[in-house]
Amino acid sequence: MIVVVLVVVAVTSGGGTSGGGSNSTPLASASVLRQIEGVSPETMATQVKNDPPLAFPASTGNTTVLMANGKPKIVYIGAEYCPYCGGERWAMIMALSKFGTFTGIKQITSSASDNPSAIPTFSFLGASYRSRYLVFDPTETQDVNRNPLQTPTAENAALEAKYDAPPYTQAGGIPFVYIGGKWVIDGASYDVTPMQHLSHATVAQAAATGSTKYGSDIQATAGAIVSRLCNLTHGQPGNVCRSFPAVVGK
Amino acid sequence: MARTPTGRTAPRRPTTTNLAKGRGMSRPDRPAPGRSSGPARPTRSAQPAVEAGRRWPAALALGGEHRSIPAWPWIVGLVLCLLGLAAASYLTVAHYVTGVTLACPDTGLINCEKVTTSSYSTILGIPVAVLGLAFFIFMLPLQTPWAWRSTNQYLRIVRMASCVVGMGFVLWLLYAELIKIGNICLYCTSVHALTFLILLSTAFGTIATAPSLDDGPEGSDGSEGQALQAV
Repeated sequence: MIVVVLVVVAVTSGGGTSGGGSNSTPLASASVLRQIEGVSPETMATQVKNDPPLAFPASTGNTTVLMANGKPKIVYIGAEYCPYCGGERWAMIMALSKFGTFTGIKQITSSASDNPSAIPTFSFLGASYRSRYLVFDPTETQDVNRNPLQTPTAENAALEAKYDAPPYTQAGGIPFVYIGGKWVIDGASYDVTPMQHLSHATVAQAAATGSTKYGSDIQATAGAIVSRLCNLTHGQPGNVCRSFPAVVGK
Repeated sequence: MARTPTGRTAPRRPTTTNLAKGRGMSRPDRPAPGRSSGPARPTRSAQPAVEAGRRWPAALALGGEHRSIPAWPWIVGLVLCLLGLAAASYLTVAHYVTGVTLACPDTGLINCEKVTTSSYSTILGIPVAVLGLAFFIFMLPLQTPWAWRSTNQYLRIVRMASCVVGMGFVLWLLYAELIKIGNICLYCTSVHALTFLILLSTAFGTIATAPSLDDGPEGSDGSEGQALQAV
């Protein structure tokens, strides 16, 4: 009987997570996520002011907030192979974790044949995000080997077609992050090259302490995103947004 | 979405240069005016070198003589070089002016920015675009009518070898684009295509303009040289 239960548990636990995805892709290390999500809003606010990232989320000029289920909606479109998506996810997880909780994030490495190569990162494929303040709608379009994964919804595809192009962005590409309709991120916000071939633990420690340039860049990029999320949520939650009284880096 | 580069107009084609019918017309022992012009005839001063040994004429080996050749090698070569110069110049300017976009193309193979800003866009610190520009600047004088008419074997070897080396470099760049980077740049591809065409035109042009003993001062049996002496 015990054997039967164990077999059933083994089969069901290896049956994949919600949204599909490879059974062989491990979930993100709890300690790695803890380090990223443990960075304080004050640290992010200080970093984004003292050492701003290469690029800030650009304003779309829209005054109407994109909503879903009564909450501002954040759209992400990227791919697992993409090294720039790989770098940006660190900052996105750091920022969004201040407004909600992630579960099911997978730990991956971007394509080794791309340039930059082998960026330690995560995948939003199959992950879920729960928040009182925001809705996060991610799409990973291709896996590490550029095989098709997910297809953006018609609405998200239309947003990408319009806002992931001039005059909103310089060239168009991924990662594409549409922040509540008011800002857009096109590409990585910082130089991910130093992260090539590093381990997740190494990057997590650097991101938690800001001890390296890419580590402080992750904090600064997260701070830029948080300041905009606080604008969308009208300063909620207070313990996060009191460090960001205004949008940083317009 | 990947951004495709805008079209460009072709540079102005070069005007036809004066095709010299021969050299040494100012020498006093040249044929009198009115005589029909023909292939360039070497002067008396070239004869001692020929008489020194009836092998490859020394004057010709040193490249001192010019002769009549088909026009297409230098026309095609010059046009291709000028087109290559234009494209390579644009890429060189773009390399130094265009800002870096840290984004992956969401669709399509073409992404000029990613290619021209990748780690493969420089070799030993020198932008590949600059190397391409240098290639076409170096090749341009070698494709002139005077260079093609020259029988200097070293010049002909250098011209052909340069094309081979250039094509080898193009093949490496194609490998970097398609395999390592995963994208191509249309302007880079145009430079690659022009280099290949220059290789072809130079190869066939080298064959078509290969000097023969008939280009020597006495022709095949020295009779023409003796006729000049008699004038």
